[in-house]
Formats: sequence, structure tokens, C-alpha cells
Amino acid sequence: MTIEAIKTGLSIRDISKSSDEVNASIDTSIESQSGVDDNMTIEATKTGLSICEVSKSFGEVKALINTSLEIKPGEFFTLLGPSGCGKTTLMRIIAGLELADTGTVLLSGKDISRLPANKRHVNTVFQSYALFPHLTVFENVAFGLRSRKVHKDEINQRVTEALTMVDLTGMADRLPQQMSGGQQQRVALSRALVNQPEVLLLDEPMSALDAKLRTQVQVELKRLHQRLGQTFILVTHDQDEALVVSDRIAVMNHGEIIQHGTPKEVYERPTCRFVAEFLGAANLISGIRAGNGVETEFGALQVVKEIPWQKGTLAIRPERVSIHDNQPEVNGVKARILDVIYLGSNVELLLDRGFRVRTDTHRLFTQGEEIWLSFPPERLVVLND
Amino acid sequence: MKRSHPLVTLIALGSMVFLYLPLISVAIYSVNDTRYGLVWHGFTLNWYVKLFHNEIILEAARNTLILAVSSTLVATVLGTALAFGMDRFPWSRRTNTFLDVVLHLPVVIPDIILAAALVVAFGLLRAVSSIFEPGIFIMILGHITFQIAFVALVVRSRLTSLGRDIEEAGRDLYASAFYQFRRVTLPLLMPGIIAGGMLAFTLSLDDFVISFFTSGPDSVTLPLFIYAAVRRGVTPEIHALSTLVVLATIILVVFAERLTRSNKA
Ligand SMILES: Nc1ncnc2c1ncn2[C@@H]1O[C@H](COP(=O)(O)OP(=O)(O)OP(=O)(O)O)[C@@H](O)[C@H]1O
Ligand SMILES: [Mg+2]
Repeated sequence: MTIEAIKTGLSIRDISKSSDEVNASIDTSIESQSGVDDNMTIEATKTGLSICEVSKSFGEVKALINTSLEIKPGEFFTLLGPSGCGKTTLMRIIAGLELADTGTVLLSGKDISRLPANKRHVNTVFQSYALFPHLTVFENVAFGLRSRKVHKDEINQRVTEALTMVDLTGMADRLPQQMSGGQQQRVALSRALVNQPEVLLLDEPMSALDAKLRTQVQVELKRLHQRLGQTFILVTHDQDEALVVSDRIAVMNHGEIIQHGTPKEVYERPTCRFVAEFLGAANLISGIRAGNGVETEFGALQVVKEIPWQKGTLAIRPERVSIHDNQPEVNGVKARILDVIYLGSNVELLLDRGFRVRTDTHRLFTQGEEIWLSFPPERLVVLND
Repeated sequence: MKRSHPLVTLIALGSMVFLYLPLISVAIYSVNDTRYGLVWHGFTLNWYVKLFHNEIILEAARNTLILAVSSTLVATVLGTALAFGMDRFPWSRRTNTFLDVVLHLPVVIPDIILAAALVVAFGLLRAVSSIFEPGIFIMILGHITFQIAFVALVVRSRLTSLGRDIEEAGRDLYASAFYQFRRVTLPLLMPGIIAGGMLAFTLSLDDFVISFFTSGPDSVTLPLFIYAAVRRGVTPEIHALSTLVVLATIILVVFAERLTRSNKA
């Protein structure tokens, strides 16, 4: 194995949870992680952030269970999961606001697990923004620099730059409560970014904004990330947000990372029901293994992938189902249209048997009409459960 | 807003009159131009002038201020520290409940019980050092003991409403514990500390029971003086003095109330 491969690879410590559409370099790093050569592991984690087997409990509640994660430098990484799954806890452990019960956090190869928050070169945008209400916008942004006794002239220059970056020039002398929610959020963002942290943590920064502003901020955030090239870790429970902004996504549930990968991997190739359903609508078909295919209530379906079970579930995204007037050659199923929803550029069909299909064909659909669906074998995902 | 029944308004007004009538009549007599009797003889500030020429009263006023200022300063610092310890240390839930009770106890306990306890305690301490003889020093100690709880309660409620986020943001932004305290926590807590201090100050100013049990011959305070004087017969000077004490208290209470309220906004 080459060091090159490891360096570029997203090393995944927990093999069972990795996406099945992994490339060669991932496989290499899995080997290296599984422990033949420890030097290599260190090499692989020299830059970026690694979280190794971190657990955290609050009394009876297990907030994080043996979580491992590798985040490459400059990556826009998103933690996605339902409320209470441990996203904030993981963020706080990275920031040093909470100590892990077990496990280590490495930043640029150094163990920072026991460092207090003020000694970590990591900054957070809090969900509540947590701006200092008694300090002006300028002083809020300057806070981190003043704490570290940066020279006055440099503070002035860097704060001015940071405020310009988020379009807040001219508001430097206001107090936080004299600003709108969106503006406060940008103050919080520039207050963190002015310190040029190795990792920027964003805990649901968009949750207090209205839908329209949120989309706009997502785009701005993505652009900012591309310009700065810093590592961003975003927490969200909004799957669309995660898909739009991230380079990679980790889906969490009940204190565990269920799957991680690029938005495309996670969306198109979910490994289990939870991920398939959490990331937007999915058609789930249960069946029994029959040779290389699956026997379902709609007949035998061909799949491309190995089937790891006797009885299990297949998934397919609504936009991956194709529509035909006549019976297709493979994986055809006949269904009746119950409802037609126009979504502007495309159409969503709700069909009997619980199917949901999205298409951009210009064909006219009517309620009650019977059509043929086909599930392309390469699009049928074999879930693990 | 819902209109209340006229009877409710009437009862409310009645209790206000009941509450404030004695205070108002004292104030009226303090400017009545006669030494005896209840009949109005015209307006005068004579009694106030006399008041400020009475050495004994001035001495008592000085003692009262020394006592109130020094006990308040110490109690404010200690009470604030106590509030911090209670709110910011990760106590277990049971310890927390226990601490809560312990904190509220001095507030609800009758003054006379606390005073009696102090007499016993200082009696024992006197065996160690003569510094615990009745006098201004043990009066200050006595006042501190009941003031601390009040300060701690006010400061703690402010701390709780402040939440952790802002302090965590400070730590996240590289602030050392000291810098964080000076730059973030203390300024945000200041209104609460001042309000707690003022409350403690008025309590000391008006205190009779604790002072009565701990004072010595040279440490007569205004409440003690008024008590002694009233036993000899009520004079218009006493009315004037009482009016001034009430006014000072009202001003302080209103001010403290303002501060606590503006905090919450
Ligand atoms: N300080 C704490 N004390 C006790 N339990 C806690 C504490 N912090 C978190 N928890 C528990 O740990 C679990 C994970 O919480 P966490 O805040 O990490 O969830 P989350 O994924 O951020 O959820 P959300 O999307 O609602 O913010 C929850 O069950 C929560 O109740
Ligand atoms: Mg959270």
C-alpha cells in the first residue's frame, strides 16, 4: 500500500458502517486502520481531525457510542441526524466544551482530548449564536484575538476584514440586540472565522432563520468555505441542507454513525433503512433472496449487488424509477396512479402499492391510469437490514 | 387586560391604605409644627433641623452606615462566590436540592432565632478572643450571616438566567478563566450583584433584632436609638428620623428592583 493512497483516502475505522461504493483508496486505508502498521495510521491522520472510538454518557443516556470519524483538512463535513442523536455532543467534544468518557480526538496528529476549550484551535458557531450582549459587534469579533493578546493594529485589520467577509461593514458599533437574526448569525460566523481556526464547528447555524434566508446562507457558507479552504463541520437535521453544502456526510442515529460518504453515496447508496428514509423519500421493497435476485410481491427483481441476507429490503429513489407504456424487459411492475403532484420542472406520482415516482417526462398523467414502472437493477440498492 | 371586579379594586386600595397609613402619618407628624398633640399646627422642617444637630442621633447614623456598608461589602463578595459555587459546580441533583434548602433557610428563619444563635456563638468565641465582645465588629459579622443568603439568591437567579452558552463562547474564543470572568461573566452579572448588594444594604439598615442582641454601648444604630427613644415617648424628631430611614429604604428598594428588572429584558 502506498502512503499516497492513505493520504488522499478518507480512512474509515468502522468497516461495517462504510458505504459499499468505496473507492480503492478507502479500502487501503481500512487496511491501514485495522492495524498492521501504526506509523502509517499516524501518517494518515497527520492533518485533519480524527475522532477515535469516542463515547460519552450523561447518566443513563448514552449520547455517543464508540464513534470514530476521519475528517480531511479543508473538507466541508456534515453531521446529519434526528434530534437527540448526539450531534451536539460530538461537536462539544471536538470543541473541548465536553470531555469524552473514552476515546481520543486528534487534530493535525496531536491528541487534544484533554486540552481545555481555550487551548484548542477550533472555533464554534453556536446554535443560539451566544454573542456577548454587552459588547459591540466589533468587540464580539475581536474577542478571540484580544484573548490571545494579538497586537492592536492587527486586531483592527483582521476584524474589519472578517466583518467585510460577511457583509457587515458599517455595523461594527452596534450591539447584538440591535441586529436581525440573520445579521447576528453572520456576526457569530465572523467571530469564529476571524481566528482562522483549524476546524470551524457550526451547530445548526441555520435553524433560527426562515426558509428563504436559509437557502441563501447555505450558498454563502459553501462559497465562503471554498474561498477559505478551512475545515468546516456542520451539524444539521435538515437532509436537504446536508446534501447541498457538504463534501461528505455522516448520518447519525442513537449516538452512532450509521453511514458516511459523499452526499451522492449516502443518497444513492444508503446501507440501511434508516439512512434511506432519513435522506428523503425512498421506495422500500421487502423480499426474499432467490439466487442472484430477490423474490418480492411484485415478482422477481434483478439486482447487481451481492445480497447479504435471506430476507431483507431493497430501496430505490423516486427519481430513479423509470416509466414505460409497455412492459419493460427487466424489473417491471404495473401500478395505478393515485395522485399526480406537479412540482414545476417535474412531476411526482403517488401510485398504489405505496410507490412514489418522480419524473421529468412531458407525458400527461391522469389519475387512475395504469403505467409500467421499471426498477433498473443498477439503481436498486440492497440494504443491510 | 381583563377588567377586575370593582370590589377587588376596592380591597386592593384598602390594603394599600392599611399598609401605608402608618408610614404616611409618621411623615405628616414629622412636619407638624407642634411638639405635643395630634392637631395640625402648620408646616415646619424644624424637627429635621433639630435632628441634624443632635450628636447622639448623628453618632447612631454613622454607626448604622458603617455597619451597613462594611457588612454589605463583605456579604456581597461572599454571596456572589456562594452563588457561583452553587450554580457552576456540577453538583449531583441531591446535593443541589440540599444546598437549595440550606440557602433558603436563613431567609425564612425568624430573625430572633438567628439572633439568639449568634449570641450563643459569640459567647463561645469570646472565650477565644475579646474581639467578640458585643460591639460593632460582631454586629457586622451578624449582619453578614443573614445578608449572604439574600445576595446569593439574587445573584444565582441572574447566573441561571444567563445560561452557559455565553461563557462557553468565551472559552471557545481562547479566553483564560480570569479574562473570561473579567470580560464576560462579571459585566453580565454586575446588575445582579448590585441588586443583591442593595437588598443586603437595606436589610442591614433596617435591622433591629440582630443588632439589638449583638450591640455594645458604643455601637447604637438608628433602629436601636429609635427603639430606646420611643420607650421614653414619641417625639417629632423620631418621626423625622423614621421618615428619613423609610425614604432611604424605598429609594434603595426601587433602585434594586429596577436593576433586576432591566436584567431580565
Ligand atoms: N448535559 C446533558 N445532560 C444530560 N443529558 C444530555 C446532556 N446533553 C445531552 N444530553 C442527552 O444526550 C443525547 C444527545 O444530545 P445532543 O444534544 O448531542 O443531541 P443532538 O443530536 O444535538 O440533538 P438536536 O438535533 O435536538 O440538537 C440526548 O438524549 C440528550 O438528552
Ligand atoms: Mg444539538
